[in-house]
Amino acid sequence: MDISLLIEEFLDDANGHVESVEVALMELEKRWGEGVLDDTLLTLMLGNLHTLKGNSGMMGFAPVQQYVHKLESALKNVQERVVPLSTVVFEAFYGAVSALRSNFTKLAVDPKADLDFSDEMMSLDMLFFTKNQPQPVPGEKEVPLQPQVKTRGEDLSYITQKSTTLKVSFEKLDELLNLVGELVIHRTSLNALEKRLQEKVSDRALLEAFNEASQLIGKSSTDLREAIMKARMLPIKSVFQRFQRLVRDHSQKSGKEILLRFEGEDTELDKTVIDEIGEPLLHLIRNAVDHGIESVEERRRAGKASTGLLTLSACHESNHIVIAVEDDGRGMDPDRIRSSAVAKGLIEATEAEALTAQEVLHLLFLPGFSTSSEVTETSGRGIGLDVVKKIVTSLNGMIDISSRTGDGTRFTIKLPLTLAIITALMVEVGGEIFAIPLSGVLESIRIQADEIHEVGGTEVINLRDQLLPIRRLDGFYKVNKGGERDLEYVVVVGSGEKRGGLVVDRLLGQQEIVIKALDDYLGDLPGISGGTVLGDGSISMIVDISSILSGLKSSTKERTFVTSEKRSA
Amino acid sequence: MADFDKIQLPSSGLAEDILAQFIDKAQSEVDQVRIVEQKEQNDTIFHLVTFQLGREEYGIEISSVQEIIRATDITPVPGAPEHVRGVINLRGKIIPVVDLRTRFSLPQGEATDAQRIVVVELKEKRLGMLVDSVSQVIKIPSGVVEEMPEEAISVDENFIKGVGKLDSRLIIILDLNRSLLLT
Repeated sequence: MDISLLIEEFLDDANGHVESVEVALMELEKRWGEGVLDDTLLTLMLGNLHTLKGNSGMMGFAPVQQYVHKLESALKNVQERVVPLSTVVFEAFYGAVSALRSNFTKLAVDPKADLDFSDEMMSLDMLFFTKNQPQPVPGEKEVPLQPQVKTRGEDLSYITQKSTTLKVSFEKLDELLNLVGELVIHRTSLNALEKRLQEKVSDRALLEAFNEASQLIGKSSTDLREAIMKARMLPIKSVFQRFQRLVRDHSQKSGKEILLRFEGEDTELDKTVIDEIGEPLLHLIRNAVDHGIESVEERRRAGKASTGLLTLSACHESNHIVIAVEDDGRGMDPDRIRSSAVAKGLIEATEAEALTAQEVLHLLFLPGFSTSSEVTETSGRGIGLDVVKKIVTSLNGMIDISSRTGDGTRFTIKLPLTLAIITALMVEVGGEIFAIPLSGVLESIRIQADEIHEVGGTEVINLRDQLLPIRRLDGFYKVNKGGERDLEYVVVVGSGEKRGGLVVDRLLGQQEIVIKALDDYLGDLPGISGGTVLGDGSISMIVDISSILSGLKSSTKERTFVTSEKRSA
Repeated sequence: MADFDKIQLPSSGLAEDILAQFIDKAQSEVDQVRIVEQKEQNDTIFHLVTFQLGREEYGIEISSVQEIIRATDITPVPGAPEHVRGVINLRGKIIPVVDLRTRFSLPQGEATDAQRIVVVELKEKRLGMLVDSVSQVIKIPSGVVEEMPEEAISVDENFIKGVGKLDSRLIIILDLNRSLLLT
């Protein structure tokens, strides 16, 4: 497994602690000069050292751990007034800080580097842990005849060290992206200017030069936008690695042997997605660890290797990332799922029998379904696959499952690379432009106005022998009426299990849009999930399909899981 | 009004530099006045951007004003509160625009070329205020500001901090937090 990322994080953190200790040390020395022994500073230093000790131990850097432990004890001696402060003691602590720093520098270059604290260990031993240590005579400042602390050649490289990375707040990157958006818009005004110039100016060479310059600005703006989007991308490794510990702890607790393996962990995706996928992955991994992978004996009996394999993989697929959680455990038993679903009243027995094995697996995503009857510490209760599916859907993604009894289970999550940019179907309603996320659009159709009927207060149309409830967006948003027409445009949309038709005035085509959240000053906006700035600088609202559909009564009792899964298949 | 300097706003839409000039100029004037006045009395100065809304002149403190732009391309937001006219694109950011006339229950006016959006920043929120026209940047000593107006004014008393009296002018100084419903 690749631990370089972890080491980097550890060193970052460790150097921070060392710096805090150093700052406190200097303050302590100053205060001591004024005749005060400041216990708060000592406690602060002890806290930093303690964390550092713990982290070093976790990372397996035993020499660091031991040394910091000794340093901690030394400092405690000072705190308990066993060893009085003196210039030599300060020198020893400063020496310790330098020693830690230089060893961390070594680790940064080579994580397997030999760490050497022997000299410093010895000085600490001599100063703090010898019984017959020379006591300074009270009243005199200090005795310079104490054992000289051997310090390695003064290492000042930490002052001049250069770093190849820097932390930038996400907001600043967002701001950059906004500004580039503006640049693109201003560039379009150059185009308009060019047209006017063509009418007035007859110098062809000048016009061509102008055109060329304008083209170059356009290209640079596009490149700039892409570069910024790239800067927001992070390898998925950072998410995957969070599960190392969970799997390790859990396999120890449950007596299972589980190996967590990563594939394609360098696949990059936008921070907005990285931030959101932790939770659904957590549920899937807990499920695999708790219910998927069998105990050692059960695996032996089944003739499998005693160590279960849990694979987290990621890869790009055009504009999407596909993340898979796969175990080689006992797999799903379709018959058990069938009977369980029937017992829970989620489906009729006859219906269950008619389902194929693959369709049965999708029953798992229904609310209120959980295969395991026992509640464990990791899986807990109430966390079902329905929740996972809900999260994934809210990220404009899809989730699928495949499983073979006895061989294991594989969950595949397909997500857009970024949540900041989506493809949308642009439509006109009452003179305003709205964006409908394409991920929710099933099709768009034209119908005769008289094909719209009213059933129980809801307008419906007949789409391939199924009643489809519709919603006129001009009415929903209370914008200007588009006027009476013979032909109506209907955008058929779906969200989860619900489907419906949105009546719009005009279809304007597809476009990539950057999603921007709307200020909460605007309050709850039914049917609107955000806004976007179009190429000409104007703003259009993004249609929140699920909130519009939730207001529609579905007129037919659908076999929901079948219709929704056919879509994602 | 005509005997006072009116700000000429550029038609480009961005009036930052103009505003900045005014701020600089006004600041130096204020500094001078302040030196003189501090000798006379301990009086504070209200430093205001004033604008016209209906028949009355309003003032808001200049420190909360970010910029003043032309009132074009306001996109309506379906379902937003009634006093919100819509949103505008301010250099890539989408910010809400409050229609002050609606907020103050004044009759709707005609859309004119003089209309401006005063962009203010309050509690880390950026909002636009649609006003009939922007008048000037002005400083008035707090001595001429009365907390409770004697005169009848059309705006709800809760929205105002006080009324400044200058010769024949009345400047209604707004409490922005209350006016914009941010409390």
